[in-house]
This record gives sequence, C-alpha cells and structure tokens, in this order.
Amino acid sequence: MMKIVPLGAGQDVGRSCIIVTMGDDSTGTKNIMFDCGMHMGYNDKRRFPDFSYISKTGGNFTEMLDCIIVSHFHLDHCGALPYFTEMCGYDGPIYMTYPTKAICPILLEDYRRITVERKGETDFFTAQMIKDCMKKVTAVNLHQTVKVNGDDDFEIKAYYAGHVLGAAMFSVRVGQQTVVYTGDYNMTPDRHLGAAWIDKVRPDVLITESTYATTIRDSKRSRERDFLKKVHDCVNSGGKVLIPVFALGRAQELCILIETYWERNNLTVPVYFSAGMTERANEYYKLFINWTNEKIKSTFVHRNMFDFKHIQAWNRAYLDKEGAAVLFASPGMLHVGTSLEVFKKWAPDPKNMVIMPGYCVAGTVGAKVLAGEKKIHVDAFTVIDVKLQVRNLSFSAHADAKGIMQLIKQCEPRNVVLVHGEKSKMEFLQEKIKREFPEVDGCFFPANGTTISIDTSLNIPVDVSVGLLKKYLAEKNSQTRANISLWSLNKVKPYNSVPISGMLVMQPNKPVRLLTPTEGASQIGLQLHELTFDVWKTIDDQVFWKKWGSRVSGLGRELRYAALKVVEDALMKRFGDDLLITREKTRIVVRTFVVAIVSDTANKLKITWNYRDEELANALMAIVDDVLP
Amino acid sequence: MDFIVDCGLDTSALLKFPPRNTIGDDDDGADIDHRTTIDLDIFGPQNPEDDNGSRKRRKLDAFAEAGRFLVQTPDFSSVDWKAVDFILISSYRHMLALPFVTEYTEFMGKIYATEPTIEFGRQLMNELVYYFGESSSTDAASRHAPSHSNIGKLLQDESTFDLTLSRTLYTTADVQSCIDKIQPIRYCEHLSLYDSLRITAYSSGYCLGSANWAIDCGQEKIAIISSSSTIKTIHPAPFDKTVFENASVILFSDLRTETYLSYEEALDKIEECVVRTINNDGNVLFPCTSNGIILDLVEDLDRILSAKGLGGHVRMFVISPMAEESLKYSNILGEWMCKSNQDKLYTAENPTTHKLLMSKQRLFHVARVDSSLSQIYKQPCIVFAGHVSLRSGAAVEFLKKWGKNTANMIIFTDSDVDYKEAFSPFEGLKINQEIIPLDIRLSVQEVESILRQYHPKTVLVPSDVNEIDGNTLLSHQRLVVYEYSVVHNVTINSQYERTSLSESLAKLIRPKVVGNSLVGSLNGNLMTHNNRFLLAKGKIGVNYQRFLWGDARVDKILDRFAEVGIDEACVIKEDMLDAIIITLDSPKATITLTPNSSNIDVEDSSIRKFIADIVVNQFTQM
Repeated sequence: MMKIVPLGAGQDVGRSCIIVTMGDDSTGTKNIMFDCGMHMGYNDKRRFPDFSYISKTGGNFTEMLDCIIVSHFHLDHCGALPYFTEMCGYDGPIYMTYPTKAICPILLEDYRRITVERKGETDFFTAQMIKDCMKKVTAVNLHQTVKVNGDDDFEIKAYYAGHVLGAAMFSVRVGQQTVVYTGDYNMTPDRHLGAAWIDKVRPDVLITESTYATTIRDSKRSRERDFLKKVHDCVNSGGKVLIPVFALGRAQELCILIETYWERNNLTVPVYFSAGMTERANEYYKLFINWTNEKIKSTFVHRNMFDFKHIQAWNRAYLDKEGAAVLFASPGMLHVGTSLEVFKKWAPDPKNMVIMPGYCVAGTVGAKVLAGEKKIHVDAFTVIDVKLQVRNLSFSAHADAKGIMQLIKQCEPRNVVLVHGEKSKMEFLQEKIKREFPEVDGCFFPANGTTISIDTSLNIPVDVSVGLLKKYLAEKNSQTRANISLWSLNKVKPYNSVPISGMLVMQPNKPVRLLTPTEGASQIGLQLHELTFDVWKTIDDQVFWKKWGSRVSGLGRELRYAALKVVEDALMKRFGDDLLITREKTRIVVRTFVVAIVSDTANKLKITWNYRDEELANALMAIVDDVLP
Repeated sequence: MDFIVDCGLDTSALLKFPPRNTIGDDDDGADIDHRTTIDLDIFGPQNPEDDNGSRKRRKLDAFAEAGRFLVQTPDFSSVDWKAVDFILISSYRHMLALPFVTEYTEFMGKIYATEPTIEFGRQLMNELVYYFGESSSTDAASRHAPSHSNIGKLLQDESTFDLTLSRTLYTTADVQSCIDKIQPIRYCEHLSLYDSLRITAYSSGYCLGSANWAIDCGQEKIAIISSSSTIKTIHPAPFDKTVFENASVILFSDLRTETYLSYEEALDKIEECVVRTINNDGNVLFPCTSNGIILDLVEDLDRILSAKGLGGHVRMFVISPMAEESLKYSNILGEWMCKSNQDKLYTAENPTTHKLLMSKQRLFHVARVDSSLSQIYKQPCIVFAGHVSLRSGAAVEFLKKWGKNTANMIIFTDSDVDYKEAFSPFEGLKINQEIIPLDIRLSVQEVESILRQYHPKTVLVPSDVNEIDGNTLLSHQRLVVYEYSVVHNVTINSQYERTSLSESLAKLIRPKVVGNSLVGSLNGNLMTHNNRFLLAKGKIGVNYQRFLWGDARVDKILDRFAEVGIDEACVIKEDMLDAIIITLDSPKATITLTPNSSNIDVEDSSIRKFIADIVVNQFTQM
C-alpha cells in the first residue's frame, strides 16, 4: 500500500509539494516530501503548501517526515523550503542535485527581496534563513544511489530531467516498493540541455508532471525560426522586444539562440539582459558544463557557449532610449520586477512586442497579457493600456503529451499519478494513458489535500540457491539447444521467463530461501520420502501394427522399438517446445519420467517416474496410453 | 564471468630510446618543426649476465627519428578476449593500454569508468600519441602482434625488454574509437550486470574520478582497491570506505612500496628546493603530466612563493598539448572534489585554485614550446612539462635549455619513473637533480589498519609488498600474496541469488511447520527484468513438483485397502532391506515401503492412481 497526497500541484500548477507514504512492516513506514514549492499566483498564505496536513499542531515535522527531495531550482518547486525548514522547524535530510543546490538559493534570495523589500511584507524568511536552510541540503550526483539515514532499504537515485540545469527525476525505493517523481522534465534535447532519461525502473507509482498534457508541439527547429523571425521583424521596424524570462534556464537557451542569429546576420541592434543576477547565472552554467548537453561539453574548452558577445547588461536609464532593442528581463510572469517595469513603459506602443516564452500562473500580469486583455490592472492605482503585439512561444521545456507517453514507456510504471497541470488536461491525458497502456493498473490525478491509496504488490525478498538456479537456467538452455535441430528454428527466441520449482524455507532470523528439495531437507533436518512408480505398458502386437504400420515409416520390425519411436514422436509433437526430451537407444527420458525397453519382456515397455513429477507423468501417460492401445 | 580490472601501459620501455629531439641547439625555443637529429648515445639496460654492470651502447636514433617508440602492454597472451565480459577502470593512470584491447583484440565486452577518468584518459592517450606516436603510421601489425614487426627483429638480440609485449603506439583514431566504447558511471551508481551481479565504483581519493570497485554477487562482495589515498588535504573527493563494508575478499594493488618522505614532508622539501633555486635566479623543471597531484603542487607553490614575497615575479608554466583541456576540464569537476572545493560551487567560484592563478597571470598553459610561449615567457620560472620519461615533449627542450646551468633544478616527483634511467642520456649536464616522490598511495600500515577494522575472509596483496604483518589477520582470514602471471584461486561461496517473490505467487504457497521452520513447495516462473530476478505466478502445468515426507504405517494402508474391498494383501517383511513388501493379486500390484523411499509397481496404469492415492495419503505432502 502506498499513499499519495499533493499539498500543492494537485490539479494545479504552482507550489509543487507531494507527500508519499510507503513501506511495509519490514521496512517501517516512510514519509517522503517531493518538492517544497511556492505559488506565483498568491500573495497570502496560499502561496505555500498547507503543511498543517502533515502535522495539525504545526510541530514535529522532523518526526513526521523522513526526507525532502527537491527536483529543480524553479521557485514553484523549492520556494517554500526555507519557510518549512527555518520557520516550521523541519530538520531532517534534504536532497537535491549539485546545480540545484548552487542555484536555488539565488532564486530564493531574489524572491525574498521582491516580497520583503518591494511589497514590504514582514513575516517572511530572511537571507540568513536561506543560507541556514541550504546548509542542511545534501547534494547528489546523477545515478548516485544514496541511502537515506544509512538505511539499506531506503534508497534514492536521481535521473537527468532536461528541464533546467540540474533538474532531476528521482526514484525512491523503500524495501520492495518504488516510486518515481519526475519534477518537470523534457524529453527532447534543446540548445543547452540533453533529453530526460530513466532506467526501466518499473515503479509501483510514477508521479509525473502534465503541464503540456494536451499539446503536441511542432518541431523545435520551426519554433526557433518562428521566434527569431518575430524578433527580427519587430526590430527591423524600429520596435522594442521584451522577453520576460526566468533569469536562469530558459534565458540561457534563448541567449544562445539570439547570439548565434545576431552573429550570422551581422545585426547591431542592442540586446540587453536585466539584472546582475544573470551574469552570475552564466558563471554557474560555466561551472556545471557537465550537466549541459554533449555539444556544449565537447566544445567548452575552446568556446564557452555561455560567454555572450552580443548581449549587454541592462540599465534602467535605457528605459527611455529611442530605437530598436531586445531585452531579456526577469521575472517571466511579469508579476513584479524589471520585466513588469519595462512592460508598463513599452506596452502602449503598437510597434513594440512582448514575447512570452513560458507558462504564466493564473492571476499574474503575464497570464492577463496572454489572455488578450487590453486594459490590465496591475494594482489598485495602475492600469496598463496594452497596445503592443503579444506573442506566445512555447519554449518552456516541459514534456508534451508525446513526451509523457514516452516516459511511461521507458519506465513501465504500474500506476501513474498526474500532478502539475490543469484538471481538464489531466482528464484527457488519463484517457490517453488508459487507452495506450492497458497494462497500467491505475491513473490518478488527486486534488490538493486529497489522499489516494494505491495497492502495491508486496514483493518478498527471497534468496534462491545457486544450485537451484543453475539447474533451471541450464535446463532451459540445453533444452533450447537439444530440440533446435529437430524442430523449427523459428521457434527459438530469447526467453525472459523459465518455470521454476523448489522448496521455500522460512526460518527465524534468516532471509526466506528457495532451495532444491535436497538442500532444503538437509537444512531443516527433514527426511524426504521418495516415492517411485513402475508401470508396465503392454502393447498389443496386432492392434499396434494395424494402427501404426502404414502410417509411420522407418519404425523397424521390433515391436518395442517401434512403440518407443511412436511415443517419442508423440511427446516431441506435444511437449518438444517446453520440455527437454532425451532419446537414448532403449529409452526416452523426460526428467524422472522414463519409458524404457527392458530385456526380459517382448511386448512391454517399462515406465517409471518419481512422485515429484506426478503432474508431468499424468500428462505424458495420457499421451502414451493414447498412442499405444 | 570474466572481467579485467585496469589496463595500464608500461612506458618504461620508452627509456630505452633516445629522446625525440624537437628543438635546435639555439635557445630560442621557438622552432617546433625543425627536427634535427642529435647524435646522443644512450645506455641500454643492464645486461643480466654482465655482472660488473658495464653498459652496452646502442643506437636507436633511427627508430626514434621515424617516430618509432615502443611501449609495453600487460601480457595479453593468456587472455581469451572473446570471453572477457567487462573491464573496470580505476583511474586514468591505469587505462593507457586500452586502445590495444579495444582496437586490436576480439574483446567485445563492456568497459566502465567514471566520467573524469574517461576524459583525462583520452587526454593522456592523445598526449602520448603526440609525444611518441608515429608520424607516418602504416604498421598496424606491430600494434597487433608486436613481435613480428621489423623493429622487434632488429632489437631482438640486444634488448632485454620483453618484445612479446612491446608494440608501437596506437593512433589518435584508435584513441577516439576506444574512448567511445567506454560507458561512463558515477560514484555510488549501482550497475546490475548479468543476473544479480552488481558493481559499484567508490571514490578512492587518489585523483579526480579515481575509483575502487565493489563487486556484489549474491551474498558475497569483492572489493578491488586500486590507487587510493587517504590524504585529506588534496583536491579529489575523499576515500570512501563503503567499499570495504561486508567485503569477503579484498584485493589491494598499487600500494606504496617504499618508505620515503610522507606527502607533507615531500611538499616541504619541494618548497624549500624551489624557493632556494628561485632565490639563486634559477628555474625549476618538473617532468610531469598536467593533471593529478600537480594541481595541489601548483597551489602549494603559489602559496609559499607568495609568502616569501616571490609570488609576483615567478611565473608557472604548464606545457603540454593537453594542458589547456586538462586544466579547464578539472575546473568543471567540482562535484568530484573534496568538500572545501565543492563548497565553492555554491557561490559560483572556481573550485580549483589554478583557474584563479591563471586569471591572476601567475599560471600559464601552452601546448608546446613555440612562439605562443615566447610571448609570455619570463625567467625565473617553474615549468611543469612532459613527458616524464624525458624522451619527448617540452621537458626535453627545457632540460637542454637549462641543463648547463647549475643554478637550475629538475625535480622528479613521480614515484613510478626510473629517474636514473630517464636522466641517463643527459648525464654530464650540470643542472641540479632532486628526487622527491610525491607518493600519496596507501601504505602497508594503512592496509593493516583497514584489515583490523573490516574482516574479509581473503586478502590479496601484490608481491612487491613484503612487510605486511600477518598478526593483523584473524585466524580465519587468509592472506594471499599474488605475483605476476600466477593464477590464484579464491573461493567465494556465493550460494544465493537475491530475487523477489511476487505477492500473487506467495499467496499460493501453503507452508507447513517443520520444527521451528516453515516449508512450502513453490511452483512459479522465474522472470528476469533489468538483470533482476522475480518469482511470479504463471502457467506451471507439467513443471509442478511435489514432495513427501513422514512415515507410512503399513496397517493403515491395509485398512484402507480393506475399506475398498481389497483384503487379499500379502505382507512380507524384508529385514535385510529394511523393507515391507505388500503384494496385491487383484488388481495386480506390488508396494515396497522402506523408511526413505517407496515404490509402487503396477501392471495396469489405470489402477495406479487409486493405489498411489492411498499410499501418498500416509505422508505429509507439499
């Protein structure tokens, strides 16, 4: 049984925070928090996940939670972390990748400054709290398997997610149960990052984002051309282009795009980047080249892609400057900061253009712009007249419907839980998943605060003796080889399943073991009783030749040999693909089942077996009785 | 399962050749393409039969001039490459022979190494090709089967190095093709290979990306310890002792064999030599590669020179065709470094000091001695240059440039190089020589303390380590001293494979109590996914197995027969066989019961089932 409850990002985008409860009697129950984000659309207490769900009294979070895993540095995934650790008092382990640990405090600090200094809020985390919080974080590398609290039965492993620098998907194993949480991911490589990739984890539950659940976007290349053409057209006619972006991540990709286009076309129109934060951002990218894509990695010695020649720092004095320009400014949703300030200034001129390359949370100025509103109320006193051209370019690096399906195929989950998307889109995607993956047991999209329980198959660890394993694997191999020549080659195919039988032994304080009967008996001091059968099959000479004499050639004259041949052919026809059937001169051997010619009888075959193979013997005897009347 | 750990190259064979001359006698140091042959006679290796050690003079200029250098690979003759499943690489120092395997043998398996190991390995291979590769490469045969090459024949009489192992070097194309075949892994990444064999790399603390390998097979674990260091003040990620946990076999290699100065003492001595030389207006040459412990040495020398007020006017040069790549690449490996370097990542600072020294114009890198160097060259200076053998590269050029002046100094820090042999072609030069090995590997004492802490059943140590104290071992532990090309058998009783039993199959099992145990018959399917086993429910049919135990009571069997109207049973007791034989006339059947086995012999198969049921019911069945 596994329980999942989203405290944020349930049928919504923003303040991602999903609590998973897993484990069984042998491992103990573990509570894991995936992401601890904030919501851009709210300025009240709704901006943080409702942590009271975990502890009604608001205390002892450290006892209630075993660890927090943060998927990437976007604020809707990590924005509530300092609040939770420093103000709510959670003191347990926190995991994130190296780049996330490096970059997320910068975004947190920027967010804090805007909230506290511009909006004048007081009850908020401080710069020192961010620092203290980050000290508690354990940085992990991709694919590195980390034992939480040194527990052999509680492991986490990060996989490349592509979305932004350092973004990771995490698989968590508690005993025999596994869950994969994707965070945000991107299944197609872009200009600076590679594509998300995961092992065939076969988790009990895959928790995936579904931002673009209904979109299948056109090719990346044509979207890039489209973007560049729009920018070029606008600046050609003397307009100003505002591109609101997160300073880290998408910004770097777009800068690479503009940089190369400007170089190729010898453009001189100035390109600006707002805030000193971005220069630092590029420094981080330079130190984490190993987390970008192969192309950037292989060329970085001679040309570091993040040294931009055409892009200069923005200065507020340029606000009133005449002429064409391109400006990248944060934040991406136009809710505060430079991008909003510039937008107010440039919005009334129809020559200008705003390109919204990302997703905008409902309620933000960005969302209103995208909705086509012509008069936007920023606050009680300010109304913006929107006359500039508005373009929406989906550059945000989320997986589209195709990508989500691809990931499901890659990791083969037993259940899928959708988060980080809109409800209607999730409904659509749920149908699609059910249709295309009938082997997926369930697909859910719980709302915030709603717990879903998923039955997980309770697998029990069992140690199989090497002797038993060899016996069955070797049998399978030799059987394949032995029967090839006799029967058609096209039936030979790789197998991933072999039948196995053995004695399961459970002893106190020892792992459960599966042994050969002999091993098992000797380990528990048990004497097995071997029961064997001798059955004499009498063959009627006349009836036999009447039945088989004309139908089968090459039987020879001797009755018993002819009968043996008839039996062999019948057994091969029925069981040749499944069993190892060995023919010797005077007998046929299938495991303990032996049909033999014994010297002192002229018209009898002796059939023997061990009671162990009773099932086999019953099936084979039916065939023998059928062919030998 | 066959696998190989590490694939190193013995470059000491290079010492048998005269230095490749890449510089004129004039000291301008700018003419790379101008190769003149200097008629340097070199001394061959000692002839074992020649007791007084008189050295034989030999000329190998012709080969060197044609770019013909030979290197020695490990002895591959006994290896059936087709049967080798995988190769594990522990560090970039131990992989330089790999292209010979991937490009010139039938090896088809997989190769695993950490990301930094692969990249630095590629750089070192290319550097080696640059220094010693053939200018016109046509003779692929001499890489494949070295002893048949012309050079081999020519040298056969005089040379003592093993010609069956000597080959001309691979090409850059070989290097790229080889590197592309290596699968990158990270520390603590569990790789499941074949059934339930699991391999994991753990940091060995020796250099960036260096690893020790743990091989888990079922219940047994083998720890393979290669070049490792527990010194805490150097830049790589610290030694991870997890590799030893629950290991039943530990194999040590590349241990410190000599007791010379400790790392700190050696550093002190180097500092002192460098400061003295600089104060005497001399220059210092370190023959070395542009990676590894050199990064720490550079940092340390800058610190001491600054402390002595010399920092500003002494320049350091790292000269190698790979210097730029190596230094820049090191700087993006913060995650692979010790904690203090790692922490710099979180403030967007460069994790390595050399990056800072480069921006402060204290440290410079150039590919070779040419005009790019003359622009920045300023004496006094410290030069780090290869090749360590002093047979090619900028080290040779600087040795010639500075060799006549007693104020200059050459410091050998690499414990692997026979510095006497290396310096022999330059005998007579007045430059000061110092041998100060910076050896950071595990010492015998450390091995002993590891053995006291962990309790492996078997410990393997190389034969050149002779002082291991047997008293550290517990009575049930076995110490094996392994030697070159001697096969050692180590028994590991891997009796079990870990699998998981699905809930649906588990529900079908009806366990019975025997003593304090529960036993049950399991009939299911063994599935493999991702090299992991799962026992699951499936169609069993004729594969079902049954077991019986307990004692049969004859009287009860007879009672049952009587109940169904068979009362003419004849019972004979065979004391000799400890058997009871029940014979029935109609239907005709013989039942033989002994304590541990029974047989039912019938003429007519139609009544077998009926008799079998009566007998079987006497036993406990599962």
